Amino acid sequence: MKLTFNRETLLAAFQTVATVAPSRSPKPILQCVKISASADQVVLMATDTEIGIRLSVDDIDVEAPGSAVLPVSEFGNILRESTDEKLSVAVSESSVDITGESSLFNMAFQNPDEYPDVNGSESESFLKLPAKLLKELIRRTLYATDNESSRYALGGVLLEMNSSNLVAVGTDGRRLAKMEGPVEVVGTVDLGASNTIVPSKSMGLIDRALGNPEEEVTVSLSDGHLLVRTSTAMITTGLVEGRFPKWKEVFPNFADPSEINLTVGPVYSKLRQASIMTSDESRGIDFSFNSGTLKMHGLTAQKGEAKTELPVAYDGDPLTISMDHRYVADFLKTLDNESAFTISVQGNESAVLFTTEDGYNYIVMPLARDR
Amino acid sequence: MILHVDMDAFYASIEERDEPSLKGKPVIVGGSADRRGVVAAANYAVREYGVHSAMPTKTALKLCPHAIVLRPRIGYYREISKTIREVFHNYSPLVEPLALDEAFIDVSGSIRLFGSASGIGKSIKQNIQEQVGLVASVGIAPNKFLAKLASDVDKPDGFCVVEENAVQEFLDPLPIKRVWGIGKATLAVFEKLRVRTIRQLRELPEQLLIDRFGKSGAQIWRLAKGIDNRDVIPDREAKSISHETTFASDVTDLDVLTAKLLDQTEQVGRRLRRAGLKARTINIKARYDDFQTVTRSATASEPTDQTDIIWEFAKELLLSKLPDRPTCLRLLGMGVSNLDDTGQSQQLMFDREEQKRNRSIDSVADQIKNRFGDSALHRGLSDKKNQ
Repeated sequence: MKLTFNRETLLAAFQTVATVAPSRSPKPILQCVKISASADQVVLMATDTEIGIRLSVDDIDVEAPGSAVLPVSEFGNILRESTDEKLSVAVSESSVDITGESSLFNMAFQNPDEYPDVNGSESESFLKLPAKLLKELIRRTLYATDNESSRYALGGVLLEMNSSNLVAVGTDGRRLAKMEGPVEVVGTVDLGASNTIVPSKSMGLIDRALGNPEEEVTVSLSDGHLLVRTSTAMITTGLVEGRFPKWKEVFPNFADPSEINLTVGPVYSKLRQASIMTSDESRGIDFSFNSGTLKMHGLTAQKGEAKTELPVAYDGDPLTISMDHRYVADFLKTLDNESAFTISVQGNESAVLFTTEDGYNYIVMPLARDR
Repeated sequence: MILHVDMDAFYASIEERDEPSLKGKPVIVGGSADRRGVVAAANYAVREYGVHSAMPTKTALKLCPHAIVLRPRIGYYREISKTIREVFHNYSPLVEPLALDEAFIDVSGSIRLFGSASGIGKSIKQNIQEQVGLVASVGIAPNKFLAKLASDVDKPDGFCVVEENAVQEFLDPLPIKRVWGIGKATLAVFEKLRVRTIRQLRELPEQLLIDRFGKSGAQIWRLAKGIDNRDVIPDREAKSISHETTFASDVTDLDVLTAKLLDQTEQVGRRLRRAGLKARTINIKARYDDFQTVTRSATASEPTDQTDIIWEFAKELLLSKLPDRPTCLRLLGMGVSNLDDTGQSQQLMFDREEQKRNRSIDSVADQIKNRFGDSALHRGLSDKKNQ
């Protein structure tokens, strides 16, 4: 195999694929990325046996087809440290040589045939959706997951169908994020009842591997593996085993909620100011809704006190709810400054519900004075 | 001198204060009878029917069917308790809260500044009345044991000073069951010996008590003589709370170590709760027979004061985080640090009922121990499979 490529283009793709390779493994070959070149296509692949990715890369000049196994650490460092615009890789029986205009690296040859196959099983049934929507489903839920929970399988994003909408849910038991959007169902796709939980790591990888936002991607499920296919990438991942809590029951069932329409930018700005006076030990901010205003109040004994205020359309009874400022910020960060959202509240002990018009819900449990 | 300040029927009195129409009527603060609640507090009117705290509400309502049952508002009581503690701290930094409604205060160092211990006691009683409108009983004595007895002698609205030279005079006529460590079984033994008062008890030879009851016999005898050297330990400024045990001989049996650790965890949990603190970090300390000393710690995602959560971590540290060598320990200890005093807790979405249940187990266990002593109740170690 011999090929020549633009260093920076390959670096981006290599880094994405390399996130899958385990940093420690009883099989050292898994700490490598495999590259396969045919006349018309070059593919990078990696697997930790649980997650696998194939990513095709453009702009590569293939002089001789073939394949090679490239150690993540050394090859990655070469791509990062080299100052050459173009590099070439040539594989001989004894070594892998990487040559630039002013540099040369030789690495020991490893047999590419020993690298495990990275293939997803094909399925007749799949979901079809725009890459853009899949990205939103991931970005608006992944941050709320929790890898430490031992009780429930919260270390991933739950996927479910709600008629023709694909629903994604992430929660750590303190807050919960849900996003949904319409997908095209081809055949019959059974995501089951609360058991398609995609590991957080895989979701992050899918997010990175999604390219053109306008293209259609497919999602299918077989043999307990989820398979995502785009025009350039294929990702297959095992699922998180375990039980996802009954997330729908968390949605507050308000009889008579106060709904306040807000814009992200000003709220986030005031929140950041108020949170200057919070600390790792004391993360609560009091959100006080009064006629026409929302006041945020941050207070810690060691640091001091911050009060901010912004005008809002609220005309209910005065109400103060205390929330962890990081949880509120996490939601706001996923939206543009101009986006509109609604806060629904009822009483200071119920969950607070954040909603946008495009299928995004976020629930935060308040901080309560100890009983 | 040590003060023991004990609020009279604390929860019930707060409810009476806020709703004067309740005055004189039998009032129970506690869980409802149909949900297997227990009495958290009983006012004096209902105590005449034999109702006392830690009794199932159902039983209480059998004794006094017309009693008014109110749901406890612990958060509110805690705020009031804080105000009361501030009063204590005006007179001495050495405040050891035992519960929301009682505390020991060591005023030995405050006498030069504020005058006599009894003067301080009177001021505290009066300040509490002025600031929160509630009545406290105060006992003043040279040590904790006597102070606690003194606060109880003419409760409610009690005020009793036991001077150094009047200790024996104060103790002698009291029934022996007032001595810590004398429970039903011990009482029966003394009944056979016709020992009923503390005077009779202290006139027994010390050796006889040691022969009969071992270590606790010596303790009983010392208390009967009014000797108690325990210090007032303020929990407020605590950066960590811990408990450790040095074994008389090295212990290798993991079951014994586990049981000891659980015991320590319960005590630490109780001290956390009574100080109104929560901990993020749980640690254990083990010293091997060759004096190698190892500490291990784990951090919970949310600060906690629940014994069962702390225990999960402590047990895990003992059973799977110690070095790979035979556990032959001369010392085992556990503690909590990274303490949180914000008094706020993150509400959770799932398992809220279970959380509540565990919290109420802790609070009932604390009440029982406050009333009947540390040995009154212990958690079982039933899940052998995890050990």
